[in-house]
Amino acid sequence: MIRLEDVQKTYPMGETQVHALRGLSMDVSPGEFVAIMGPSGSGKSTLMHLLGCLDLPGDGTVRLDGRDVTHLDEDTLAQIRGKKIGFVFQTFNLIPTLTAQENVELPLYFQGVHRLQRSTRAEELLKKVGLEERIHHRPSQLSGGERQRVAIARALASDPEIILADEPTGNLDSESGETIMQFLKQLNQEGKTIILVTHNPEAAVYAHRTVRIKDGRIWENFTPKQSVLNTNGSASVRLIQQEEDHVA
Amino acid sequence: MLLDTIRLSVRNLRQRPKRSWLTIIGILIGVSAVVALVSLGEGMQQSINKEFEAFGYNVIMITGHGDHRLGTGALAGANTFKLDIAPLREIVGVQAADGVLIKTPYVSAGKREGYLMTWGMSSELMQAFPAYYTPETGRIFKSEERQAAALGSQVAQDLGLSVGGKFTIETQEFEVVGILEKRNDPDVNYAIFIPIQTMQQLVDEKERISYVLISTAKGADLKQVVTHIKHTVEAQRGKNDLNVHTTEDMRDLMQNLVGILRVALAGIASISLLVGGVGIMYTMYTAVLERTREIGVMKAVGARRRHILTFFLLESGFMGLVGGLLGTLSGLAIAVGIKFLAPLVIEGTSLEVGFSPVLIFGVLSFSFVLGALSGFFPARNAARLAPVEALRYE
Repeated sequence: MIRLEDVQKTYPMGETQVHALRGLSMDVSPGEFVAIMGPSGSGKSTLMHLLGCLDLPGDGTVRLDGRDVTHLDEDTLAQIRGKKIGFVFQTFNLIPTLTAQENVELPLYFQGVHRLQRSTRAEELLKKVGLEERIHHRPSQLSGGERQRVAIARALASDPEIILADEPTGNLDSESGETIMQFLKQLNQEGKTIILVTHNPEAAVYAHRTVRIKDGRIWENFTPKQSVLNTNGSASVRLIQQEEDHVA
Repeated sequence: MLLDTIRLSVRNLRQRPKRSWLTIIGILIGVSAVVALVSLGEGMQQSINKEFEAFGYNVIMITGHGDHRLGTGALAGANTFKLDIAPLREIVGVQAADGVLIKTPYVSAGKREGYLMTWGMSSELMQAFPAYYTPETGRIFKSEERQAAALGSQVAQDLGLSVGGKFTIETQEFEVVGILEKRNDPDVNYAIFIPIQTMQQLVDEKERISYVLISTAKGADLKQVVTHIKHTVEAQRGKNDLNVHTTEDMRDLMQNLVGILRVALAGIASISLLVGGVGIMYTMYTAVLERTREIGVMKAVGARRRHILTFFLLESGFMGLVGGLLGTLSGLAIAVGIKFLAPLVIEGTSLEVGFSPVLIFGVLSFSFVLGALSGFFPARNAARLAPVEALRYE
């Protein structure tokens, strides 16, 4: 589905160049739930931007469904994002002047979908995330957990194949965070490919596979034992911690 | 689709009402200045036309060299001259011709006194312009009367005189036989009209005149009549030392002057409009900065450059349009206000306000375009933002 081939990315920072990614290759298969972990400065955000077609690599190739997107112009990339990728951000990133419903409609608006179709779809999705009572509220009138649910509904608006979630639980209390992760899990079960960027092991345990990044390279790529997940799907932090120690 | 975009833009403006309104006020001030000045200028040209129409376009004047070619009143006739009018009356097409002598002698009526503009005219000449020298009360003096006077409406009021009243010019007493209708021409409203023979004797200017006023018959070839008059005058004086011109010449001259004034004033007012445009630009740059993250989000969920560009252009265009609309209303209000206030501040002025739909439509479209243009560079900046940079913006 998404394939990165030897991608490199450097940023100028003052006089020096920061090597955010140093020749990284990875594959994400359809229907996968991948967690990308790594300390800050590891290149995790840069990787997420490349996976989400928000940025292009300095070197190497990014393929989406076999198509090389590396040389596409910004507007074409925007169209691809709008249709194929749904974003969920740590800071929710809802438009403050728009209601929950209008925020959800936004991706469809940019695709030129008719107003009636948009609003029907938005209502349907807000119902799905349990916010049918809140469709006309502004983001400022919603709690953090509710805002992130609106963001999930927005990510689903154009029925994309991939959901890219960047620290979706980072600004939430553990209960709301749990709800959000359950939603992502459910979406994965419904067939969506989920890419989760996080440094929270509790969130990462929902993934089928964890990719650890360090210094712009893949440091570890592993599939946790099934035993890591208990029956209700919540994480066992201790076990993950052990894995980490083991690798170190 | 466009409707949704407009709705969103309006909502964004209402999100920061104080700043939006301040920016709009910038445009409003510029537009009202332009509209007020242009409307007054238009009104001025209209009223000049109206005055000249009342006077008639079939009128020819002969003035002394060096005299101002404008107007029939104070400006004309500083240099008096002698001319035998009788031959002029013989020219084909000439209906009436007579000299006019204008001076400002000492006038008193009871305790009120002053040096007032006094016109010596023949009864026949005044009657040749019935639409211009129209008695409101009483009548024009008859040709055999010598100590009779017709007064402009303002001078009658100032001297406290009505028909039948008596007053003195220099040493002689006159009786008011008529008071003229108020005109837009202050020269008439402030003038005292007395028979020309009395006037010449009173100010010791025997047989001399300030200018000659000639009215022509309807359908007469004005150019030909002017040529004949020029020949006649030159033959009589032996040299070409007098000006012969038509009312149309004078009107054109005045229209040109007012036109230049109008363009100059509107030009100055446009500067404030330009400043308003800079205000919009500044506000939009700020808005783009503030909403950088929002722009990033929109781009992440599939907004293309033109979407972002349209959002910001509509926003700035809308500010321009609202400023233009309110500015037009306040500009017209100011113009009407000046029309009523001007005569109170400067006596005798009378202004008209020209209401032109073309002007209003022009101003509205101009202010929308100005707004959009001012917003163009900020909007282009917004549209060009890299999504990653924009999302990272704090």
